Amino acid sequence: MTEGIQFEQVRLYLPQYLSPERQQGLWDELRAFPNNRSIYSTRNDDPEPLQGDGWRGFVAIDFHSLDRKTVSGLVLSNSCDLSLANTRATTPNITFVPLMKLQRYLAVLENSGQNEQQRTDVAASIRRQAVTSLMHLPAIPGQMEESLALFGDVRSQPLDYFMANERSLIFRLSDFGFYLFLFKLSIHFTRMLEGVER
Amino acid sequence: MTSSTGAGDFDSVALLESRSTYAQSLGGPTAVLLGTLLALQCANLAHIKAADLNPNSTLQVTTATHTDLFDELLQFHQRLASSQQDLPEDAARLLRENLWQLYD
Repeated sequence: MTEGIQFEQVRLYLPQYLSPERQQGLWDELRAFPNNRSIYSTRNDDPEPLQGDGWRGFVAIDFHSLDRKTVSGLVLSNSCDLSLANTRATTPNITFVPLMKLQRYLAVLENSGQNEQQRTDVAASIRRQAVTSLMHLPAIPGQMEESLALFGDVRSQPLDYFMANERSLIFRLSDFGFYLFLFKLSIHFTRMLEGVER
Repeated sequence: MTSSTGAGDFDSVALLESRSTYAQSLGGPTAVLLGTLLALQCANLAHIKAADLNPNSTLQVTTATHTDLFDELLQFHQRLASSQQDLPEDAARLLRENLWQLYD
């Protein structure tokens, strides 16, 4: 079977809202995994947040000390729930997980006595997207250091507060990056085969 | 779309006859064995040929092709899903204990 015919069949299983060219690009990246070019999009001039975006300008509050600080975060809320074009009776929250720099985490491991091999193994598994609870976010030169998002520390804040305050888009995921993000999110939060009798 | 089986150009009777003629020169028991094998082979190919001519079976072949491609797409999911693991215990604990300091 030729590549062209094969792709025509595969299109049935790819997101139907994508143009044929972008479906082809997504398919190429899925087949290339884990040797992908990038998980980021170059189209990032939309002022409204989308699911999977990285934004600066979230507020995080420490549960124990009640300290608060401005952080960068990965948006978990779905894009439709965030769209200002949709009218609602109540103001929705925007749900996110804060970002952290990989090198700072590795420094914590080093300062706590983890040897180089242990740190290398941890970093390698994170970069392979092999850690269930983490999304690895490769560096964006001049814009963001190599970072992590921990799915287990979900936070939310009113969307109108987020929109009204200083904020900036750090990255937007590509079609492939978004596919990968949703897949990792579903593995972390939804396991149909959890193995528990209820 | 159907996948090619080669059965479309296959003349089972002619092939059986020509193979049987060749088999006769090999002696009695061998010829019987080869003839039986060839007859079974031809019966199988004839069955495939008949199935390809059946519109319902063509649909099945198309469905099978889709299933193969779907399986290929699933390989991405399987590669990712089967690789998922927890952080080592100490690394996970240190992440938890320093989480607030790591956020910026």
